[in-house]
This record gives sequence, C-alpha cells and structure tokens, in this order.
Amino acid sequence: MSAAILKGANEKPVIFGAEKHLIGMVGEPEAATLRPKAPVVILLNAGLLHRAGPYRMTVFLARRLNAAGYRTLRFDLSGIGDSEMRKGKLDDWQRAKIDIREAMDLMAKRTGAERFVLWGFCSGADYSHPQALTDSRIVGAVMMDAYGWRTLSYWIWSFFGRIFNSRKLRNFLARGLRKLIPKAAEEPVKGESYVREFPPKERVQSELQFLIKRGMSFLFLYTSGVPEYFNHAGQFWGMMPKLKQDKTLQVDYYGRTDHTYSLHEDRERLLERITNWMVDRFPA
Amino acid sequence: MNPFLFGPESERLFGLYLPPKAGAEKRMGIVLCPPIHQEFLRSRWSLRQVSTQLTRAGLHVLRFDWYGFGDSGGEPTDGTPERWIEDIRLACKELKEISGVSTISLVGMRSGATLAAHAAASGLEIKDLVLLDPVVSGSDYLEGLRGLHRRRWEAFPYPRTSIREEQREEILGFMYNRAQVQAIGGLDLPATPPAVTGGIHWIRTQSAAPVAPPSGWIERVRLSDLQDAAGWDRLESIQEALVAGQIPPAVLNALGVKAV
Repeated sequence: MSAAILKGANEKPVIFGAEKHLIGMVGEPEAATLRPKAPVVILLNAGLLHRAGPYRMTVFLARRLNAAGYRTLRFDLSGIGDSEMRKGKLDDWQRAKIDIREAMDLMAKRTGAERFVLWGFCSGADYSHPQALTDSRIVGAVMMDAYGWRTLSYWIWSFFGRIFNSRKLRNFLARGLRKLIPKAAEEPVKGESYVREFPPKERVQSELQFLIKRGMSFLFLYTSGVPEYFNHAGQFWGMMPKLKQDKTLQVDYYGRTDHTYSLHEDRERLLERITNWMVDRFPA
Repeated sequence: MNPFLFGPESERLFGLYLPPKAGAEKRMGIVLCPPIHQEFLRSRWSLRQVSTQLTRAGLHVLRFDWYGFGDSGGEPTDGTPERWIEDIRLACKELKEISGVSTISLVGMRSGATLAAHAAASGLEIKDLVLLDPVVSGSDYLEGLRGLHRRRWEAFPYPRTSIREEQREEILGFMYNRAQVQAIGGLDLPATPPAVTGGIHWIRTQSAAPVAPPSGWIERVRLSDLQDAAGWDRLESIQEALVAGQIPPAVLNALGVKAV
C-alpha cells in the first residue's frame, strides 16, 4: 500500500449540492492501482459525529480503500459536522435522502461512476437502507450497528450473559445500588448509542430480499456496543429467518468490541474486513 | 464556507474559511485552535457554534485540523507540539491571505489553547488570546487521560487490553508514540504570558477541581467563570459532544464584539 495515499496525499475537499452547503473529502487512488469500473464508496456520518468519524475511523477507512484502488467520498450530511442545514421543512430522513443522492451525483459527474457502495454507521446505516430501495445505482452497503430487533434468543443471551459475566453482573448490581442510594456512588455510565426508531422487521426483511435479488451485496457488522437490541452472533438470522448467509449477505458480530471501535486492535480488524469485502465483492 | 487545503505540499492541512456575515464585516480574523486527540472529537460541535457566532458578529474565521487529525494529512502519531505550533502560524498566514485582514486573534480550547499561547510566545503577532480551559500542565493532562482510559476499560463488560509498549501507547482511542507522549507531557503553559497587542482572556468551565492561572499569569489575564461544566475529567463525558452553551457568548465578550 502506498504510504502517501494512507496519509491522505490524494484527498481534496469539496463543497457541493444544489445549495452548496454540503462539505466532504474526495479520495482518489493512485493511477496505477485505480479500479476504474469499481463502485465509488460513499461514507456517511457515524451518527451525529463529524465526517472524520470516531477516532478518525472514517478517514482511515477511506484512505485504506483509496490504497486498494477505490474512489471515495466521505461527507457531512446536512446540519452535521461542517455542512450547513438544508433549507425547507424536511425531516432527517428526507434531508439525508437528498444529501446522499447529491453526493452520488457529484461523484458520477467527477468520475463517470455508475455504481456506488454506501458505508453507514449507526443512523448512517439506517439511512442507507431506504436510499438503496429507490436508487439502483447503489450496489452494496456496509451496515455497522444497523437496525436490530430483540428476539427470544436475545433475551436468553441477555439473562445468561448477565449471570455468567462477572463484569456485567457487577455493573448490573452497581446500577441497582445507585437506584436505591442515588448519592452513594458515581453517576452511571450512559448507553453508548442514542435512541433510534427502526422500521418493522418484516418489512425490512422483504426489502432486503428485494435488494439482494436486484444484485446488491451487504456486509452487516454488529458490536457489543448496542446491547439494548443486539447481543449475539446468530441474532441476525433469528430476526431475518428468510435470509441466508452467503456472499451477497455477510454478517459479523464482534462481541467484545465497543460501539465506536475505541481500541486500535478492533479498528484495524474492521478496516481489513471492509477492505477485503470490497475486493471480494467488487474486484473490477 | 470555503474548505481548502494549505501548508506544505506533502503535509497538507485542512482548513475551513468562514466569511463574516454580509454587512457586519469587521477587519479582524479569528483562528480557532481545537484540542488534540480525544478532546478534539468532543470539541467539534461547540467550536462550530463558536465560529457561527463569530461570523454573525462580523469576524473572519478559520477553523483547521491539526496535522494528523480530522481531514488533514498524516496520522495522529505524526504530530508533535512543535509541528502543531507551526500549524497555527500557517493557519494565521492563510487567513490573512484569504480575508485580507491583518489583525488576527487566537481562540484555543484545552491543549489547543496551550499551543496557541506557545505560538504567541514564539513571536506570532496576535491581538487577543482567548484560552478556554487551557492545559496548564502537560503531565497532569496526560495522567488525567490515562486515568480516564483505565477507568473506561475497567467498566467495560469484557476484559480488554490496550497497547502500552516501549514505543507506543494507546490512550482513549488514539495511538501515541513515545516521543509524542514525552513532548505532550512537557507541554505546559509558558511560564509567563506572551506579549499580545490586545488582551489575554481565560475562560473556565465548571469543574470539581478548577485550574487557576499560574502565578506568572494572574496579573495579566481576565478570568471568566462559566456555569456550564465541560466534563473534561469525567468518564461519563468522554463519548459525548461538548455542548457549546455559554462558550460562544463568553468568547464574543472576550473579543469585545457584540453577539448578533
């Protein structure tokens, strides 16, 4: 891999959109490694964080993809990071939909790209799904700590996980103690992710079936950082029993990784996983 | 808004120039100096709020990312305090060229404030120096971060080990190399306040252990205490964006401009 590319040598800032209010960074591979027919990767905000991502994860991922021959655009959705709010009375979903379309239009105009892969983290993953339904240019999506629904196995794992994990048991008891004696201990640590509302799982399942049939590839990555709705490796298949793991739909669960991949070791594994998935699914 | 890259060709810095609101223009530019590492992430949103207020009040503003951080080139381990002080010089030069203003003030937060003070002390001509919760002692700052890191992983439901080797160390999501750790540990506020043509303003958020200006500074700084708590030393705050709250009006007040 080119050291210069990994340090951002081929990145350029852009300001785009009909209102010229969206800010992003375009990343280009070196000419020798460019995969000209491969899809461009569009990297959305991780929740409400600036486009650089948690611990600069999005920057590192974009540069890894550039080094592997893929063009990238990472940008701030309206009102997040450096991007201004879009005019008009639109909700978050409506704004994100227009923002992502304008990001793809920008890269199509700059590079001639006709296919795109979306990388979404947390609410960014939530936005990727409806976007793919209405824009057939989207051929792949990396969905990190995306939607989830509690299943029977979720509750079983939740119960036994608490009993047999001494740290979880300690934290659980400590929380109970704090409720009983509010001022006896420190303030509890809040959950790592904010409240999100998910669409009905039956609808999502049939939409995923439709998208896979259309030719889309998905990589779902879950961590232990969303224990309020996802807590073990097999849960995805319990949520989506009509779907099967194969090359077009891959699901990983990192059971000892926090939501924002705070440890270097976890981030490295993540970057490698996504880059390898891209090379495998979109080698052109 | 104008996003651009500046600095040496092989080590580019990301900058975002924000022009003053039409009709309110004042002939003064502000360079915002964010914190480094974990606090850099926390400060993003509040510094955006500060810059919005400053441009509304008629000031030219440049936000930039340190080398190795945000959208700038390099990796976090590439940065050193010397390099970051040079980044401030480059940012001031760039803002003067873009905006045409000749008078620049620095607004720094945490380690960014300390670096801004060093930049001013090294001969950079500055009107006002606004320091938001500056880091007074680099070694105390590092130990504070290490303590938060340790507590954060002790509270995690599974035992995990972060990297702490001879040549590198992982603290709150960022890798540091040994030379960098030593340099940051030695990044104290200058013993005496730098010479500026305007004033030096020290803005302090609420804290269980408030940090007072060093003895050599007390006579020279205007101290403002805010009611808001930034939570720099609180485990519960490490993954939360800092809420701007009273910070923008306090900065405007320090710079002597009216909020619009």
